[in-house]
Amino acid sequence: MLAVQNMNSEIILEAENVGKVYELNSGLLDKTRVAALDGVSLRIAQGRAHGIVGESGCGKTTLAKILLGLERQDSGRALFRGREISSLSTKDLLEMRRQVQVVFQDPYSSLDPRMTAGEIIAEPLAVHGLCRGQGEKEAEVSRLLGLVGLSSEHAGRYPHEFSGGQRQRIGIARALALKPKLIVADEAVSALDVSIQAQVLNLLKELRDRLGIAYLAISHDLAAVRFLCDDISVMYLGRLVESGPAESVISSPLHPFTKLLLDSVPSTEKRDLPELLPEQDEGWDGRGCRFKRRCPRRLPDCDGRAPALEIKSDNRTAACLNPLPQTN
Amino acid sequence: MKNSRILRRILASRTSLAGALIIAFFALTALAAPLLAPPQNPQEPYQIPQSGYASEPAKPGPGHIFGTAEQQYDMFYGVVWGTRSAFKVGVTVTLAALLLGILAGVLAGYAGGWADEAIMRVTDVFLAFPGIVLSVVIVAMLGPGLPKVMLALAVVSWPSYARLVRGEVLSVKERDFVSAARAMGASHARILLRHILPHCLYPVIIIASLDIGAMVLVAASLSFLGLGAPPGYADWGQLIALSRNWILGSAGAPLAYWHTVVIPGAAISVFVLGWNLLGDAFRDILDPRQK
Repeated sequence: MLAVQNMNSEIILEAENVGKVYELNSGLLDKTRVAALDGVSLRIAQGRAHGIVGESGCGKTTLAKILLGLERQDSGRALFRGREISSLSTKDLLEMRRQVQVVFQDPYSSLDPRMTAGEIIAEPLAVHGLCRGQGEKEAEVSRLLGLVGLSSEHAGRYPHEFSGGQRQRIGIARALALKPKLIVADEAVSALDVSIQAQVLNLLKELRDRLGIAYLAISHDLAAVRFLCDDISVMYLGRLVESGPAESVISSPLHPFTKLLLDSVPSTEKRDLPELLPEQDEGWDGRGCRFKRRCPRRLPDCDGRAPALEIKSDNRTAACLNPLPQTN
Repeated sequence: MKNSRILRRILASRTSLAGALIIAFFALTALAAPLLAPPQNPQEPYQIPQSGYASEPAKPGPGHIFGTAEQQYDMFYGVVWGTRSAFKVGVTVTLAALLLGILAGVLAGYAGGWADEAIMRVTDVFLAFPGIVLSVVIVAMLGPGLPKVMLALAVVSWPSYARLVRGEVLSVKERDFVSAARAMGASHARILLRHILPHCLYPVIIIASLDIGAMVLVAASLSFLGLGAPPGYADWGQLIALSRNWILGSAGAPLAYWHTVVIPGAAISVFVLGWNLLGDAFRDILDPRQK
């Protein structure tokens, strides 16, 4: 698919045409079916960081949950090292758990308020039977706390005694406890203050450089994803609309939605932000391109034909009939 | 640490202190029952001693400080040992219903799907009948007696606990720390016992403490209807049942036998009041949503 994820780097997680439909009870007998994911394909290779950006509600988190084996897709395949996650044996699933860990968005809900930081970080060790004896466990917890920039005296404190950034570090330490190959970071910094975001992003990048951990970073924040990731996929209403190396996607977006996302990022230099467009849920009538009603580059064809994710140039794919010209 | 904080806050509020004092008083009475009212037959301490077989109750006086009920059952003995019965009924029934309710609620909430549907439809069936009517029916089928009353009450009251626990489990289950535990490969048992259950217990415990009093009230009404303890058994409802024919007094002397109703009635009322005050205090302290 992408040349940058070349053959010699082993694929850890892969989504192949993954679809997921949620049924909402909208009345006594009526059911509305909402396609959270529709034909999403994605590969995350060893040691690489892959970012997924999109608006809230576009299906990013659903994709993460499916790839983590916390939810099951309705169609397509979700693969861990080439094997369907939902049919892994208990032993293989445990092995996948060791290799694939997760950091959640909300550091207030991701830590059990009744457990101390030390207990939280030691839990994966206990689940996988990795440490013999109390001493070894304590040493490992101290090591992990040090790894995320906390000290071993924090082990005895409860989550409410920490700040948001520190709590997120505890969440990261818990994810690191199993020495994973890949960490799924679901909006891992968006709940934090901007200055704390920078600290946590630096920490994640540093861990990547030191431990060679791959990331699947899910965010609505293009800047954060660009900082951390090699590749970016942009998602809109349950579909990938653009994919490619982070730098080139951001410097020269192909899909009008990617452009909109980029233009919507406020910066200190920018004076104008783009006009408000209809929210995505009123944006699609079920035919043709999902983005058409908000799209400034809409063609008559967009109403009838849903564009597929096609290779547009080197390493770049986009699902658009009228992509933006590439500037290089 | 946490428990001492709870204790301090109970003592800080006047109503909850009153509740705690009332329950403490009843608990002491129940514990000291053999000293306050020594049983004549140690084999059957719950059998109220009779001084004769005359049907007309005697007024309070020396020898019988609370008077006697119909057939000369000693009211004081009945009230004192009835305290034990009250605790036995209230606590046993509530605990049994609580255990069953927690088990069913956790199973329904955590497993979801058809298990949830099945358990919740069963609770619907139970909740569709007024509790007292359903317990009357159950006791009528099983035959009278205190253990059967307790069984009936437990059967009637577990569904509301099950619903409450299920709701809590459903909300805790969605929190990220549970997803994190699943993502690290924790077993269902571990997730349930370490991460979900501890967060679901407080609300039901609050309701349960309110229910202990209510259970005693319902048990008393069943006894009053003749479905509870056998005649002569030390039980407040039983004492009121004995006074059924004497509530209005006799011609020319209305309310002459007031003590046969008022004394056990007061015991029940104050006991229920105590649990309600204590339960409210628990709720104020433990349930942040009330604040």
